[in-house]
Order: sequence, then structure tokens, then C-alpha cells
Amino acid sequence: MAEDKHVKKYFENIPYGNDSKSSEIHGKHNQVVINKFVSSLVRKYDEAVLNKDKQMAGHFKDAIKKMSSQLDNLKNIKEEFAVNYGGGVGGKKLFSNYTDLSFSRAFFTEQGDIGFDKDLNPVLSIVGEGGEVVAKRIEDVTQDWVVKGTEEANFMKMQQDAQKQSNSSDQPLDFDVDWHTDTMLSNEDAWKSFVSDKIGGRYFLNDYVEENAEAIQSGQITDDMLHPDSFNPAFDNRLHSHYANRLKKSFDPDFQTESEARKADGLIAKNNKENNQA
Amino acid sequence: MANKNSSPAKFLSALFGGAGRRREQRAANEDFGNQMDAWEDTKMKNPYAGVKNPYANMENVYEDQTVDLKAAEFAKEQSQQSAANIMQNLKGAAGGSGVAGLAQVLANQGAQQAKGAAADIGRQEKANQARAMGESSRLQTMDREGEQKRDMLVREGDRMTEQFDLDKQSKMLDISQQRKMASDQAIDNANAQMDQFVTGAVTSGLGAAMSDIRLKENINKTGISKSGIPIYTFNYRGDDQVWSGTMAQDLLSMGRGDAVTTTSSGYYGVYYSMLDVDMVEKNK
Repeated sequence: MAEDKHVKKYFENIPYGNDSKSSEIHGKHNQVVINKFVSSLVRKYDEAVLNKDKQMAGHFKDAIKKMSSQLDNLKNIKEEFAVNYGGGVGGKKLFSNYTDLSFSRAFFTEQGDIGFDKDLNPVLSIVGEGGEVVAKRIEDVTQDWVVKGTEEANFMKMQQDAQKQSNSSDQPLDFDVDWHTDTMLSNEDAWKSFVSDKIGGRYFLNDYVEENAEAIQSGQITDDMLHPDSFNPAFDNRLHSHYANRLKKSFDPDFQTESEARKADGLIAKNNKENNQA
Repeated sequence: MANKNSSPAKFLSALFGGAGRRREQRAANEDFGNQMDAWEDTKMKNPYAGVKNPYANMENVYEDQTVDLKAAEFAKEQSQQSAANIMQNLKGAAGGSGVAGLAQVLANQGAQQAKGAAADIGRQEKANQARAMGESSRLQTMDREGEQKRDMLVREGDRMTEQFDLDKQSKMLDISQQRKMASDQAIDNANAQMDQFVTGAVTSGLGAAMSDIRLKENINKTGISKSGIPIYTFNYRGDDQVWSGTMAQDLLSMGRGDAVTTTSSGYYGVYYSMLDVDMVEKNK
């Protein structure tokens, strides 16, 4: 995607050195704003110290400390974003496709603005594609980030287990596919990655849309059942069925889901009819 | 702070501005990546796929479905395109939040899908499915014994192919996990540096620490740094918090004006990041 290229190019050529300050890594325009706030606070602190107003001096000192630590946090988040976006070792993108990165992509490539509210908490904002302003606090930036973990490895291990047992004995599987699938999907919200990322070479959502194209177009599958959140296995079993069936097929290549059995029956009936006519 | 371990100088070394280092790393990875791509594209064919049933000359009506992988692949691509079109149409027509969310995720997947046109295991499962359907109807019309022998050979070949794919997938996963671990280690290291770096003081990079002797009292010399800079304990006038640090006036007299700045209020400030002295809070 063009956005990906843009972000990677930005981090490849980022114009900040090892000694960059947390106030300057978001672009000149933001540095000016931050410096204005800080210099104003330092001036007030100096005045309070000279006037021996201990309480006021402490107040300004705390404000400067707070601003400093918040901007340090933001610097840390920018670093984390760069690593997850493929700036780390190996260049693999670690963000799940589930994550909507439109805000982070813009803000962390210096296309956003930093302002401060009345309590001197930073407010970050960008202008969206439709011209709307999207604002977030620092603690909200990472709230919806979904980073890929060991989901694919867990699934593949189970699939290989099933495959091996299929080859080596006439016994049933030595683990409960449904229970393990359930655990695998619900573990630390792993289902978000199972919905949207490539698992064992396949994308669930693509398969789902492909298999249900008619039902989607006819409105039989309603809009609220298409949102990625609607596949949360706590309330819905479509994701569970998909992965449990794949595991069952690894153990038994002849395993058929209900819809596949219906299709097979249809084909057999059609074949019989043609044979009878001949 | 100017502590060497927690200096900003180390802070972004893993990422920011490391363009040259990353280019070197990528060049090394590129060769590895090419080899991985070639390996990924390696396919094992079923050695028994061409075996025919010597006992029956009947046509397998499902042959195309089971062996025509190119057609299946093409159909899959077509269908993915059609899925994208469906989403686009629905998004434009209904504008529902569900479809919009789905389209967002599909769009995110788009870039990655272009890299791998067909999914090995997906194809394998689809072949299994088609074979299962074919099996049901063939049993009714073909000679059972001969077909069974033929089928067993084909299945054996399929299993070998499937095992090959799974082994390959497993090895690739191992490699990707090793990469992930290396990446995690790099993040841990960076975080450790960050932990040391975050001290919350005014000196953390926002500006220079106020180190003018005129603003301080209860000044006691406690030592000298390796580069000869005197170190003191003191508190700011009107504040009983005790600090350890240096004096801007000392630095000026030592010819270290490069580490001294004049603040907007006219008092001197010191860039501790340029010195081998820390400015640290002492216990009250």
C-alpha cells in the first residue's frame, strides 16, 4: 500500500539523531509550540524562586516535570510504532490487519499537531482523509493497537499434530479440537488476529466473504454481522467453526462440513440423474 | 540526565536515524529473503497423480476439479477480486459501519495478498474437499477394487505432498519466530534504555537545567568528575529539595561554555547531557 511505503520511507530517512529531544521529534511546528510552553513555565518558575514563593515554584516545577515525562512517553510510543511497522529487526510488520492505523500513520510521520489542554496534558490531532479533525490523548493512541503474536504458530502446531496423528494411527485425535480452538481464539484477544491476518496461508475474512458472497449481497447476512468485531468468539461461532473445521480436515481429509456435504449430495444427485437419462 | 547509561545519545540508536545501519541489515536480509521466496515457491508434485485405474476405463467426471490447480488458482484470484468489488459496492451503496470495518481490514490485507497468490494449505484443503466429493460419486459407478488401489496410491502421494508443505511451513515458522525473538530482544534493550532515561527532571531533553549559582543556596562541594568538573550538593532558593550537580559559573571559568546557556530569565542553565556529571535528586 502507498501508505506503507510512505511510512517506511519516513522512518528510513528520519531526520533525528541520537541526541534528539522528545520535543523535536514531531516536527518543527510542534517543537515551536512545546518550547513556547516550556519557556513560559521556566520563566514563571524563576520568578517564583526569586520571590521565594515556594508553593508556586513547586507548582511550576511539577508542571515542567509532567510535560517532560509525557513527551518522553510519546517518544517511546513513536519508537514502538516504528518497530511494529517494520522498522525493527527483519523488517516484518507486526501490526495486525485488525488495527486501524490511520491516526498513528499520520501523526508519527509529522502530519499531526500537538496542543495542550488547561491541565497541560498534550492533545494530539490530525486531519483525516475527509477533512475532519481527529484528536487523541497520549494514553489513547495505543489503545486499539493489535500486534501479532504467536497465533499462527499455535494454530500450525495443532494442525501438524492432527496431521501426524492422522498418518500414524487409527485412533481418534488425542485432543479436543473444539476446546482447544476455543482456548486458542479467546487467549488474550487472539481472535482479532485470527479474523484479519494470514493464518496457515489463508485469510479468514477473505474466505468468509468469498463463500458467502451471495448471502452478503442479498442482505441475508446483515451489516452488523460483517463488522470485524462481530466475529468475537464470545458472541459468535463463525470463527470457531472455520478453524475447528480446518483442524478436523487435517486429521481426516474426508471430513466434510455440513455445507460441503450438501454440495456433494447435490453433485451425486445430478450425476445419478444424468446417468439415468443416458 | 547526563548519565552515560541513560543518555539520550543511546536512546534512539535502534531506530531513529539509523538509516545506514538498517540499509546494511536489509541488504543482508534481501539475499536471505530471495532464498526464502525461492523456497516458498518450491512445490512438491504428487508422484502418483498420473496413475490410472487399469480395471476401468470410466471417465472421472470430477477430474478437472481435483487436478486443475491453475484453473482453481485463477478462480480464487477472480473470486478475491470479486469479494473486493462486493465490499466496494456495498460500502458505496449502504455505507454501513459493518461493511466499512470489513472493507478496512480487507484493504489492510491487500498489500500482503499481492505477495502470495495462492495459499498452499488452502489449496490442499480445497483439493481434499473436491476429492471427497469425487469419491462419493465414483464409488457408485466405478469398479471398487481397481479404483480403491488407484485411490490409495493417489492419497499416499497427496499425503506426501501435504507433509512436504507442512514441513516447509513449520520450518518457515521457526525462522520467523527466531526473527521475532531477535526483534523482541531489540525492543527489550531499547525499553531498558528508556527506563534508565526517564527520570522526569527538567534536564530530560526539553532544555537546560537551571544551574546558576545565584539561584542556589547551601552549596557544598562533594567531589570532582573524571573530566575535572566540580560537583556540589545544593538546593534552589525557596525549595528544600537537595540536588547534586554542578555550577554554570565553574564551567564558564573552565572554558566549557559550550555546555552553558543563558535562559530567557537571564540565569545560566547547563546541558548535563554534554557533561560527565549527573544532576540528581538527593533524599530530603
